[in-house]
Amino acid sequence: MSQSSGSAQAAPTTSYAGQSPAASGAGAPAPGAVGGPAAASTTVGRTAKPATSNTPGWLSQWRLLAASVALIATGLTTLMLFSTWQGARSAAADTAQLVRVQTIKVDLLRADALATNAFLVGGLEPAQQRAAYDSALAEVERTMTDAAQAQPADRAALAALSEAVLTYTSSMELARANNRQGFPVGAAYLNQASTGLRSTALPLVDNLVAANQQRSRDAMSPLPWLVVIVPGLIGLGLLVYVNQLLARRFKRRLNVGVVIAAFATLVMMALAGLAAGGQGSEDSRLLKGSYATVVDGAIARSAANDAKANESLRLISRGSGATYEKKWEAAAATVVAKASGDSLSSASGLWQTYGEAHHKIVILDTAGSWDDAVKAATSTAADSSTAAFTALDDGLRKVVDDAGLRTTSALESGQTVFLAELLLALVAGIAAAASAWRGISTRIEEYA
Amino acid sequence: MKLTRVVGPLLAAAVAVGVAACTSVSPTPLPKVTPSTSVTSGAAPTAQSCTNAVQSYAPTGALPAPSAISPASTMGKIRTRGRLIAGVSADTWLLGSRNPLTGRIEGFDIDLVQRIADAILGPNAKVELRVITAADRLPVLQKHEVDIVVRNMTINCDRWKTIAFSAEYYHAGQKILIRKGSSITGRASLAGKKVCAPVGTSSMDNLVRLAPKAIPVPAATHTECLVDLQQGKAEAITGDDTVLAGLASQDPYAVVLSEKAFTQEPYGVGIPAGDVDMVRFVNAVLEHERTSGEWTKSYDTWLAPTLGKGTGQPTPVYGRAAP
Repeated sequence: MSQSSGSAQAAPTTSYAGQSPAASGAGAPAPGAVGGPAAASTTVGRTAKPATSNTPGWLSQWRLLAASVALIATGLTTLMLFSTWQGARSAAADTAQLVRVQTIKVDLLRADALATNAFLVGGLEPAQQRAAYDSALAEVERTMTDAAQAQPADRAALAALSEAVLTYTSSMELARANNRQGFPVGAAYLNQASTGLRSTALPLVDNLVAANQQRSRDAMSPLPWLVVIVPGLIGLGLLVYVNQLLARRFKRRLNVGVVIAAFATLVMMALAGLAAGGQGSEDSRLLKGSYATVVDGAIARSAANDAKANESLRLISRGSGATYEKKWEAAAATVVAKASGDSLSSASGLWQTYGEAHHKIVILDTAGSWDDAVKAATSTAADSSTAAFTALDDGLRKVVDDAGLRTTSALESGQTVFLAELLLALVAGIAAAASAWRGISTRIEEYA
Repeated sequence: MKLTRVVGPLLAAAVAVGVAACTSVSPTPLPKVTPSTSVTSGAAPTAQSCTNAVQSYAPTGALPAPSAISPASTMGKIRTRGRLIAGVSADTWLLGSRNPLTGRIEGFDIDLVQRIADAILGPNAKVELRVITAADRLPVLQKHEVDIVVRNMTINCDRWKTIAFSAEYYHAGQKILIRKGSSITGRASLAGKKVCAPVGTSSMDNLVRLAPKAIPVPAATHTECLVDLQQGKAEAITGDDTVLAGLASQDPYAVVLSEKAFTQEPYGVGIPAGDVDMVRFVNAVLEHERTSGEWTKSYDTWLAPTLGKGTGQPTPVYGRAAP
């Protein structure tokens, strides 16, 4: 089969290119057949009709076209499916990266909230708080390394971020060292660290979050199934047309090969449609479900930690904390807005508990009882602001981590089935091309 | 058109889809760096336009007992509230700074606040200390957010236009602090050097006026100037000798030049312009401090170890006509 197809294909291709038909006379029936159809290109069927001696050439042209179109349709379909498969794969990777960069942001704000709160206590900071600060920063470093490895496009931003984090931690260490000696310059270093974190590091993290959110969203918008079946549909149309032509010429209603080819094309379209449609609905389910929880939860958690840091900064700036209170309120509004959905409803309740504890601190501070306000803000008792906040933070982290895992595993688990559908569609498409070729070849052989 | 010609464009389309499927990811953008706001030294402030800056309102007799204070007076309103609200510094060592070990704000200025509060409300009176920056000192008084400001504030004619002052309670002078080993030897050698001072202070005004060739480096507080000095962003700090003494004792590599103070900085308690009765009352408190020896006691506690014996409590100047 491959031998005959090779010679048959060679003849018309070279002659169609406008060269002398005799030059490539290897295929026996081809040279004679070329002259006729060459004169009229669009009306191949009609011009070829009267001359039965031209029929094998006419047939081999249609054979080539039918098989090529079937192959190209298969190729296009497979490529589109492949791109969707790749999209799902990178969506999983991009979502994992999004979770990483959001973790960096939260951990930075968490470290800052802990450091500023420890400052309120005095030079001898509680060991537990110090350990939590250290572990938050260790997680930042670890996550930055992982993130740089996972997404080369983030490396420049992560390098700049790493520099900003280094500046932050060194300022914070100077703040602590001076604070432990009782020098007020420690507070100035603390202020520099917190301000620098918000003006240099956080804008970088925000860019990373935005870029990865965009990437994962883009990757999660696959081609609609209606587009994926279009090449198959064109192939199918051509096969039906070819069958009609053959039927008119040979007085047989169906060419078995072409019919099988049409059926295989239908199978390919069905598989492609199924795969693309399935991925599409899975992606939109994720975008509305666990993926949205990842995004909203992380925004809520960052805002919550920002609020807690501002609570401490308010008290550190003793009596001049109005600007920090405004920042607290802005962060609080973000938490409330993002935690309004069902998946984060548990956080919403915890936030309310913390909000009430915070309100008590504000009342104490504005009434001039700064010492009592600080006591309330630094207490770790069960009903304290810190305890309420820790419960909220832990709860949010769990929700976000779970949703992140669910999103990536859903994107990854669908890939085997999708790949199987893709391969089956490819096989069906190739079978269609082969079958069309074979079907028309049978007719050509009748002239041999 | 030959049938097989269709194949070409179709193949091209197939390749295009293939290429589109494998496009690379564009890198995450870095935020645009906005240049940090530099100091605009602006027009150099002129020297004092009056000669009676330290002149205040005379007290009306001896300090009354707290219970004898008229409820209608400014002090009476403070009594009704139950606490005195004072704008102070929390990071000016020796004058007003937060002790990180105890969390309490303490210093020479804070002692004065407590004694004013005690005079109004009785012993161990409740005080609300509101930490403000140097630039906040005038606005918080103008907006009546605080009753008094005791934050190493220099009495001058310009400030008298918007607020009132007590009599002088401490006489400071502006000096220069340098990094050990610096080539700066005095005010005359500041040209082209980066010198830090807090914005909105007479220290900054004097720097711009008296050393116009120096490069001013602004900061929110003098302590932030020390951060700049330690990080090499400034080569010197200028400020009142009291403040610089506090900075120098936090850093063994910071030295206050022994050059004579090049300005006179009389410190006064800032009070809202309309509260003349409060000014008279605070002046009575200051008179009482002199006789009771409380001023000297406070000075010995906070300032004597670094500034020496000093010249004692300044003599008050009265006779300013009430508005």
